[in-house]
Amino acid sequence: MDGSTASSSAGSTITGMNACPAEAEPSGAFSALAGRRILIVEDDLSLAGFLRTELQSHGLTVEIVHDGEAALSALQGERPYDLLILDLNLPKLDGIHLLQRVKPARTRILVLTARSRVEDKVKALQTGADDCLTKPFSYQELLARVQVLLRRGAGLVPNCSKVGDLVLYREERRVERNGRRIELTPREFAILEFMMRHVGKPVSRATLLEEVWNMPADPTTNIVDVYMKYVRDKVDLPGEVKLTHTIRGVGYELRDA
Amino acid sequence: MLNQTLETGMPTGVAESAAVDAKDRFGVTMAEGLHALAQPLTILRSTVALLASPEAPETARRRYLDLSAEQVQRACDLFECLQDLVIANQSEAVRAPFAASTLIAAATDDPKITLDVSNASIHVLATGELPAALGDYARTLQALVAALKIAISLSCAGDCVELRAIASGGSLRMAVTSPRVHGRTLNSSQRLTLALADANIRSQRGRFTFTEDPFSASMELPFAA
Repeated sequence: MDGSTASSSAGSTITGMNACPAEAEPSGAFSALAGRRILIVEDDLSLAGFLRTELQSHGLTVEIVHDGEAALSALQGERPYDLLILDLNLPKLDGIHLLQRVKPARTRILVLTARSRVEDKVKALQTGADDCLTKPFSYQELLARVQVLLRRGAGLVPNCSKVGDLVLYREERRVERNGRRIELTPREFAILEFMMRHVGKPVSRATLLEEVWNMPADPTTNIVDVYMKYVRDKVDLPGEVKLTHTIRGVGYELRDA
Repeated sequence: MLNQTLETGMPTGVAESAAVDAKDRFGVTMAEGLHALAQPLTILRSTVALLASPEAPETARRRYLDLSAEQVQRACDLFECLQDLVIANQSEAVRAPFAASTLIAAATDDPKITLDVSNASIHVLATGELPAALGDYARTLQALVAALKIAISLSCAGDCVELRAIASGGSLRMAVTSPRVHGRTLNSSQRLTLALADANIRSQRGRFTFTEDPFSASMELPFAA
């Protein structure tokens, strides 16, 4: 998206968004996992930035930190991550010690290492890592492993969620309402998937911006409203019971009547 | 504040253990260098494969090409550093008199020191007329440039990196000091560069030390008789 405004195919205009590669619609190959949260802990700035850009282009929400202490702090935060990509050789607190100090319950862990010793990999796996990848690796291999780990982790969240006659299948990335198939873009799917996890509760625009776009709250952008309209137009057809509701001054809520 | 110090040199009477120590240090540094190389090689392996993908749009292809160019340069710099490290351990250093002022002038004019990146400046402080130092001009110059380059890279606009040259107890001491606490640990490329500077000075029976934050590096060589 170039400039501060962009027109959508539906005619709405998005304002307040700067050009950002992550804003491009995620590529289709990985969209079933769109919106999953990943923390990358890597002290090499170039590599961390490269991995973030690529994973974001697949619709994943990615944060990066560059040392073990910052990682510890991020992992002890309130919002859990679905996947931790952890380099072992870190400043301040190395990867193994980090794993010994924090074991996030629902977070899968993929360890990256340039250490060729088998003992290092064994220790990482014994300390809680789910998988290990030796540098130099290829991004395609990392992506495949991320996909497997997130699929495995997705078992903790039910594949199917229902609100009234609206059904969302996470694994298949399929949405149906009363037997009608609803085609959603990866971003729209990520919004609805998040709303499905918070049925009956108001979700603020800032939360959606943070969870779906991985961007901090920004009152100057209306991108959430624009995308929410796309979702609403597809989910609530004329004559159907309205499931998506605007909560004035707050944001949106998904509920059955 | 980080304040790790690496002290090297060749204390008299412990030549044998120092030789063993030097071999260990060489092995460790080479291993760290190979570890540092793993980062650009990872990006390169990835971008090459992504470039081959027929699905990559033109904008992404341009980005992958730019990234490839950056990482090839980075890998070349690291390889050059490793090569110099091997040479420093493989061949004897020259021991010949050279003028400190010539060395300092050459170091501050070196094109590798890109002052325009950070807008920092170098302030040279030399105490009086310095006697000629005894050592390997090329290796000392390489070590001094490396220290200045790192100090500059850790500086911000308006900072003044100090290069002080003094005569101290029969030897020439040159110290590079960055005024800023940068709050980071040095990256693997910077560590490798410092390890090379250390090897270069140590191969002349000199002494090299550095602290991480604020960054400073100091090297000492004997004066010519």
